[in-house]
Amino acid sequence: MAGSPDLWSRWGQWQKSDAAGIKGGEALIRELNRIVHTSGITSPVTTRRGLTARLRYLDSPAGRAELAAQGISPRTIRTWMKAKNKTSPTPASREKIDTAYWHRRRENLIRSGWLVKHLDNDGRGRRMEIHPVDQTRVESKYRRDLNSRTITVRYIWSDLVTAWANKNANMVDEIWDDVISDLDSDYNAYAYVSSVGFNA
Amino acid sequence: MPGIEDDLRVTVAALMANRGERQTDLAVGLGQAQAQISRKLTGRAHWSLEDVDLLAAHYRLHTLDLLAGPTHALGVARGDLPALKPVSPWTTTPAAPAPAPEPAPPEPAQAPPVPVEPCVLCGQPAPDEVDGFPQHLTAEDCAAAIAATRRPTVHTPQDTALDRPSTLTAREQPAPTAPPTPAPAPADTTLDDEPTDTDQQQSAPAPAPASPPPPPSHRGTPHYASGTLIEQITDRVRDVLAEHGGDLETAQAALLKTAIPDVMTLMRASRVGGRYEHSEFPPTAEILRKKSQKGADEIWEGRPKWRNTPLLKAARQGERFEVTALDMNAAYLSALKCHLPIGQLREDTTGVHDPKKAGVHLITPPAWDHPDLPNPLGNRMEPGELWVTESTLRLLLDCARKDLSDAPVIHRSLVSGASEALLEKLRRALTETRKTALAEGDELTVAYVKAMYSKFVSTIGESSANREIRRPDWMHLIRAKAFANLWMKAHKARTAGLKVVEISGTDELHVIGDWRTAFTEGRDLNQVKQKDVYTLGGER
Repeated sequence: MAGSPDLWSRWGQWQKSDAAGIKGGEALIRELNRIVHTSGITSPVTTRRGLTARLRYLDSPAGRAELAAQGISPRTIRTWMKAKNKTSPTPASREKIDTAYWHRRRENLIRSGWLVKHLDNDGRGRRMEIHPVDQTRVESKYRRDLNSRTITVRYIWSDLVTAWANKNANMVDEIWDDVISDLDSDYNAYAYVSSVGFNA
Repeated sequence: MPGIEDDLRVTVAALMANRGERQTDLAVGLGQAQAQISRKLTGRAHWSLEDVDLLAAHYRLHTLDLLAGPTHALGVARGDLPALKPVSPWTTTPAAPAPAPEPAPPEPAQAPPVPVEPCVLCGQPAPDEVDGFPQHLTAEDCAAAIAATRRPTVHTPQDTALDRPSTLTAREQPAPTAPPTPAPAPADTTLDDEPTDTDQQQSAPAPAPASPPPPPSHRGTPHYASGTLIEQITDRVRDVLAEHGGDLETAQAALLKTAIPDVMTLMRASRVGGRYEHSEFPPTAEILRKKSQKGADEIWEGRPKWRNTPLLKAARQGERFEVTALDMNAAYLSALKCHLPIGQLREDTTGVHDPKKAGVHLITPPAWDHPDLPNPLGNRMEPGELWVTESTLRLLLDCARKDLSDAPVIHRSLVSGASEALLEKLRRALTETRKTALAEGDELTVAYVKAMYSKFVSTIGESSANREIRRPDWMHLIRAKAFANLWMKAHKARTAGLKVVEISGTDELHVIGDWRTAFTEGRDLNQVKQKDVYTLGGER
């Protein structure tokens, strides 16, 4: 291993030599968001198919409440829901419908436990690929040879989803600490990363 | 100081020239890949003792004759010289040596009567000079020259068995055969860096049918594909078929349904023991990210869609053309062999193409002014900079090397260290399974293999159907490679004197002329299929 082993042991000083990255917890949050946003209705809201599907999804007390929270009047909501595939809202309204859809979907994935179940994968966990911070701009004498690491992560998923659902960033950071402590003695080099990927 | 291996190399080249064989023919005879033969003939790989046995069986010589130098081996092969030892009984009887009528070994080595000096490599007259040294340019030329001079002098010495050794050594003298330097490798290996099955017969008009058919291989192709992987595929087919009580239709439906997880398992198995550990979920670069859920990203794959406009104009004015529509077999399967980036893509702004890396590049493409040959970039209309993949860039650089266009200007690159072999083991297993299934008429396995490779290519990007890997860059590279392979075929057809009428999709090539001079017909990866023959123009 090049360099001093505790070159980055003091968190917070890792950017001194111009390495680029984000907190591991932040990378986890991004990845969870990606998983949520790659599921669900794939047709965009600008198409008739995508719009109808979203309105059908939102046709529930909770969905209507969410639409109202987006600033849509009850009357407009009633009109849309009455003739779902005949309405043609303005682009701005479509945007609001889309936002409401993703809010509801996120809630429902958390509430139904699908996300935890999907990540937990019947106790088998998910493979996680950790990409270290980007050191292309670091002077070569300060560079450390860090590799991408792949680990299988189990047991953390329900805590992680709870923390993510409550938007509790500190908790997510703690969970990240837990994840990387499995790596080896060099784990604190992965406190900050360029990205994290799951096979989920 | 030429060793016995160099001798053997020249000998094999001479015997090939004598029979009018090509590397593919020899490869079939030995049960090895053509690329392997190419490496062994150019000195980049060694001949093993097993190879010597196989060669001896292939040429119906005794191994001792084979190793006694090119002159002797050729003499024995033609039946001009007595063999040192009779051929062992397990090969075919020596009574039928290579067919006597010469399939015209290239004579031009002797044709120009101008100052012909002995080649420094083989001692035979050579028309070419390199750095002031007269020499033949390739090992094949040396071999052809030896073959050509041997013929007239052959019948004079009716030497007895006793004085043979002395005459032999005397005759060996003019052929000291320095190693044919690896530099002048056969044309196809240098032109495109993929000498494998997809586009191997570069020297197009070589009359393939004229050469005597090589003896059928009785050994299959050992070590071409991994047996365990092939077994994994065939076992799966057998299990599913048994599960469905032999009902082909439901079994096929079940197999197609599991094709994605199956091919991912297969890929993981094929990477066991691989040298490189590739990343499966690297951060997606901005330009590789789709703009909307249904939209495309900014990479130009170069999908060909081209018609020969001057020709179509002529057809509209009443000229008649007989056009053959050709179909490339399993284009995406061949395309799995391409330079793939192993790790995360990193920015590089040097503007120089590093052949050891692969990725996507922002380039300004060169102008293209060949009305009878499609643009390697596909049907791109808008001018200016564009993002292309490694496969397209390498094709453009090849075009520049062939003097078809200028080199593209590279502005930015997102690259990572590359390997052409990442998916090679998987590709070979699928290829071999497909080949066997085709030979046995097993359409179920053929459909399964097809589903595996095509779904692999289409889902390794950001697809919710395949969450085991997320490499949109690979997906683009493989697709672009398939398009580049099709372009190479079009170029080959044109080089062979055919007229290219249209190329489109990944696998369609329409040509005018006798296409069998350029391609072989069949369902293998290096063969083409005739889809349709139609008439263009004339009165309607």
